[in-house]
Amino acid sequence: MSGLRAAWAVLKNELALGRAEPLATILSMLVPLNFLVLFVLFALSGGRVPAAVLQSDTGPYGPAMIRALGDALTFDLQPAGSPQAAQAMLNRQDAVATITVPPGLSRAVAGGAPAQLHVTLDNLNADFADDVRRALPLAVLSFYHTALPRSLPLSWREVDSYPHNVGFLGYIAVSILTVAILLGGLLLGGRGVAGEWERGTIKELLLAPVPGWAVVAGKIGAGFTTGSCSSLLVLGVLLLIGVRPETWGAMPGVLGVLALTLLVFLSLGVAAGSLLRRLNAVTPLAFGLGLPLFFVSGAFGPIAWGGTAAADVARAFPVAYANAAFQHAFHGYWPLLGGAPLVWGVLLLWAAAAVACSVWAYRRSTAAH
Amino acid sequence: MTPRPGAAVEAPGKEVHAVHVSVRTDVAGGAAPPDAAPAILVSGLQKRFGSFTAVAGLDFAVRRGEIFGLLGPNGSGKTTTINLISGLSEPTAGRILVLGLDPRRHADAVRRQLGVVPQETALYEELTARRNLAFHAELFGIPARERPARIAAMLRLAQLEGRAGSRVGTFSGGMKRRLAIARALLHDPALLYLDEPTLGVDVQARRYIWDYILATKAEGRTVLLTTNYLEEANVLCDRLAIIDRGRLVALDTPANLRARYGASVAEVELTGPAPEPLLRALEGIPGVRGLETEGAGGAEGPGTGGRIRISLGAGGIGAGGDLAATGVAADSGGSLLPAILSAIAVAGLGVRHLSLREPALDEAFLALTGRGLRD
Repeated sequence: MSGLRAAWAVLKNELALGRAEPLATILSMLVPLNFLVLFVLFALSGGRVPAAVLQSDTGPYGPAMIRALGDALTFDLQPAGSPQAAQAMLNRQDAVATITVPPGLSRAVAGGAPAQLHVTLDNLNADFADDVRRALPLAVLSFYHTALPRSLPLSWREVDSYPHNVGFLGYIAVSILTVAILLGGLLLGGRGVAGEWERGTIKELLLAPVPGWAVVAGKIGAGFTTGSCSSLLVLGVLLLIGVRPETWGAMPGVLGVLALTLLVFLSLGVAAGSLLRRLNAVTPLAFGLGLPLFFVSGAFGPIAWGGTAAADVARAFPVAYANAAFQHAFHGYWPLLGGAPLVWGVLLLWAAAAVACSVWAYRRSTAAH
Repeated sequence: MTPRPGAAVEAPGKEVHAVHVSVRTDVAGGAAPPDAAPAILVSGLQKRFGSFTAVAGLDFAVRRGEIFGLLGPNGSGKTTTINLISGLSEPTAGRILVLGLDPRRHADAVRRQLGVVPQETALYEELTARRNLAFHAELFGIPARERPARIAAMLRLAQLEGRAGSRVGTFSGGMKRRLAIARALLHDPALLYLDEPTLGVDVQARRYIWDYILATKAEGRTVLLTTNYLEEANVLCDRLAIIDRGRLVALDTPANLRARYGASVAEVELTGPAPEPLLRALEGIPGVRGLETEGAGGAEGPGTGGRIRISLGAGGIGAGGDLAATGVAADSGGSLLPAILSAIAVAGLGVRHLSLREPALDEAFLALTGRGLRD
């Protein structure tokens, strides 16, 4: 009982320290939001290629060609009134390409005569330029598939596995929850203990008649409080921007995975803080290890669970499993085999191991030697 | 070898002079009740870090209710000894009992009885004084209903009531020290340990802290302190242990250490130049360690007398015997004055001025630990 009381005292004290230095606390809570903004901007800017489109054909196939370009899922089409206006957009870098549907396109198509779309490409950005190079033939194919289906005897039929698509923005926005927990946990747990060593206040804890596990529990508890706020903030922003779970019934699962994963990384943070004892060692470690781990664990897309080293790393750590659980809750699919039992099993094992590791590291760092 | 006044005293050798430590071992097995045990009992204590020996077989006992000082040059093993006593470190060999309890086996019980003021104060500077005390109270399990009154009393004692709500980071060094002492006393420990309690504080704060420590002793607590200020040790401590290179080199009361290892100096201004026979006679007085003359032989001209500085006392490493053998009592050398005055009278001279300077603890400390700089 005295251990629990001591843990409560340590928790309250840690929160009081956080309140006394609100800027550091707020910044640590805002880090995941920064990532959310960054990733959303990345998705928005990199998702579709801005292209100026000039419609010069007056026949029926001109608009069909424009629709086919739109259906290519590549272009962000911006109509231009004249060739000069289209060129100006290219010059201002408002567009990566200008696509002109030439006069007489409809007549040529109807007569089976050759016709050409005029494309001017800003090829300095190879990524965008390649997108345009890939998408244009597909758009032409799509045009014929839609406008002149008889001219293409080879066709295809799509059967969707899921009732909806998962957009890139939706996918990475959800994975921000994982980074919030990963970085927040490592930073809050690590800095909480390392700060005691740096301030010299660890002596106050060591000379008090309290067990080591109580100090660790207090630190984890305080980190859990702040980290939960940070994670809920991210969750709230996701809901605000329209990224919502498949069903609200999935929310308890989301919160459970969130809590368990936060516990894992808070505990690992406490262990790191105990062993490193310095704030300026804990912070780079959190970013230096946490971010690569996050990126290899399916931040930008489902992991290919092949034999790559990255996949092996991802398989070994809990990040990918947490991410999978969130993707399932928000987008209704499991990006890994095994589903819920595997995810919960891995996270529970990790949580138990991480908590044990934190207590061991704290005891080791404070043990009489 | 008899050290000359002003000459460097040889660094301490292997032998330890006049260290008489009464170590009670009857409490070791828990046979004696804890209340009957010394406050701290250190027996054959050793601590090695790899090949480096930080503490090399210490034996001493701190009596209940006394202020016990632990002195030593930097790196002498003071902090290691204190960490061992506090249970923060584990001895390589030897035994420690704190209030009759083994600090390793009964860590919590010892910690409840131990109030510690670390050198770096270990206060949360971001938090208020009251919050620091409240946290300590919670850690030490002081019942919630008692906390406000105890915290208020400690703040009053530290004269920090007006700053209870201020962040500790805004405090002066002296205020932080006072708060750290108040915190250490909050759980009413039987044993208070202070590491350099007045380091970096001004004279007023130092005096206040001294009074505070003495008041603590008057309440019946045992106080163990380390300090580099010998004046502080002299004023506060009932007994002092001087350790060097991990070994105990002296343990006694400040007065006895001063008398034993320091030197009193008698300065005599004569009515005339001191002749050689007088100087030889003075040197022959048992307990006189050396002479320095000024104006002997009338060098300063007519009407001026000779001035003699006489180092008294038989102390010092290698003094060649104990005090009893010299016939000199440990009374700062005052007992030699009749013999000195008699020799002067025999030489046909009078005394214009006579002064006797007490031996300083610094001299004893330097005599025991040497003058070489330590890192």
